[in-house]
Amino acid sequence: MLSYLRARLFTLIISVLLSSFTIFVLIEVVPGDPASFMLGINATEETVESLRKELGLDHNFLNRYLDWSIGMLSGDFGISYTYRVPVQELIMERLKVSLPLATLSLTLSIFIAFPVGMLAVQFQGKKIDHAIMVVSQIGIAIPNFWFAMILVLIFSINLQWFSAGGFYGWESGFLMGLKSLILPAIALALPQASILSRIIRSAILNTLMEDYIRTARSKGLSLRQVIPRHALRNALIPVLTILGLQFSFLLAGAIIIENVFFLPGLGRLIFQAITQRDLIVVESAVMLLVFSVIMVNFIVDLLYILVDPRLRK
Amino acid sequence: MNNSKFITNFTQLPPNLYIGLIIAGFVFAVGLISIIWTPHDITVLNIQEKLKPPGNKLYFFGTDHFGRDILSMLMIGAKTSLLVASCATFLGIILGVPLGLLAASRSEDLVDDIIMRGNDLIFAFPAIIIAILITAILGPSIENTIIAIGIFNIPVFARITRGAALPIFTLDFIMAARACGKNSFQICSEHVLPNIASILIVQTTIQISLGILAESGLSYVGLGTQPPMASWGRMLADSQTMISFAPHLALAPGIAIIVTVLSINILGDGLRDYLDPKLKKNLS
Repeated sequence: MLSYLRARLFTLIISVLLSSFTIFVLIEVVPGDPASFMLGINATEETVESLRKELGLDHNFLNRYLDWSIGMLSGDFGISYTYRVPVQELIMERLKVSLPLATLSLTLSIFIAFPVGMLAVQFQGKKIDHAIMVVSQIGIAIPNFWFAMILVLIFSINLQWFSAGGFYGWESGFLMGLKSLILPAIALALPQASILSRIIRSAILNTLMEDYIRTARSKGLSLRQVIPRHALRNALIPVLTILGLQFSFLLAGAIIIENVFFLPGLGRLIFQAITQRDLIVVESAVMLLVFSVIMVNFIVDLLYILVDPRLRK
Repeated sequence: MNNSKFITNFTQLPPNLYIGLIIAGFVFAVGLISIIWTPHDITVLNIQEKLKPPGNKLYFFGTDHFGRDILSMLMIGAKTSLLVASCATFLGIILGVPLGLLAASRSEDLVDDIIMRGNDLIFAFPAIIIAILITAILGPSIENTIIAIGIFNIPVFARITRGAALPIFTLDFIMAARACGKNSFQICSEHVLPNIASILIVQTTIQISLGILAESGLSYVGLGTQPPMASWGRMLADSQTMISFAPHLALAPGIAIIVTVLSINILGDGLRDYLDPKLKKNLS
């Protein structure tokens, strides 16, 4: 198990290094010099040149990469070209929206998907199962931003329960903050819950064919007892993989939903930074997202070992 | 497959294959027709006719804020969606499948490791953000949308090809082919590919439906299809500010996306049941 951990840790470090380099190269090839972009078309060559020097853009590629990556390791993500504030402050500010939004929609999706998936297994092949499969199939096909628009039409415009967009901020109270995240979270959770419930259903059905389930059944346990006690735990591995993927998707993939609701989240920060050529913000924020994906995958791999003792050998 | 066997099989086709094929085929046909004919010209603005509700004699699904015919835009949107999604999937297949085969055929050396770790690396990137970045680098256009979506199809096909091909490479007939002096390319194309084709076909339908969703998302944020070309995502973006007084503008393209994606997914399920009955038995 220790050698497994060591090998896993090694690939973790390699992936982080490789991805940071890839991101840096990718951002390098974005056309448009940030300095001349910031100063506009009337700037003289000298002012552009001095701004380039100030931003550190006159150093060579490798030096800038090293500066950036070593800076990130010590928590210094650089200074935003357009906002002139430390990038980490900008990102932290946005994470206050993105992190609760991702957590909320993942929680929603789990609370919907687990009971629904288990219900489908219990009534496998019957009408309830078929209905669940049809509804989840539709749920997968619905674009989440369209669903978000429909939610706005129903709950904001017609019923006026929620505002159609914007974020009150946590300063105006926890409930007010939460209220502005509910519709976006539901919109994000619908397709996720549809996928998850299907995965849970097939994962449990697969484990139900295992020998130990037959043993448990032959001891006289009913299906209703076997599913939560024996099958669910063993079905968790594929489910965990999907959950890990979904969480990282929710952090970044919420970008379109953030656009629908005008939420100041991480996705919109990156989006705006790309259009304003605020490249330092783009590369640091993307790196943070990639890093979180790699970490989530790593944690999921460790959770496998916790869930399945057979993997500990 | 001889003719009589094909016909007996045809009567036993799974119903989801029929349903999916009919609906997806209809959308495909509509997209094709839009190339040569649409009820109205959507590049011509006709402000007097703006925001007509659906059910109109001249404009079956109504008109938008520029007086453009929604039905015509939906038809062209079908073409855009299917074109982008199919080309992006094709990109994933022509690059991903050879990579996956190469990895599987060299499963014991460094080549496999490099390809698979490279795959993991792409998977770690937030697809939508990179797609936005790519269109920002290359400029928003239909070709660049295809590239942005297609890049993320490459590791999907590489991984699924490798996974399916690995067990095939251990079989005796591969060894026999090798003994006959066939090279790796011949073995892959003549022996391995036919055996994994069904898995790849099913994955193709999945990636096409994901591609349609991705295209609509990118167009929605303004980075996909550019006007005057119509796309379902763009139509949704345009409709957003008018949703309170003209909800039909948002409903029509949304339902078009759902029906198309749903039909392709159903078609994929049907193909899986048809091509690989073993898989179905395992699942239920």
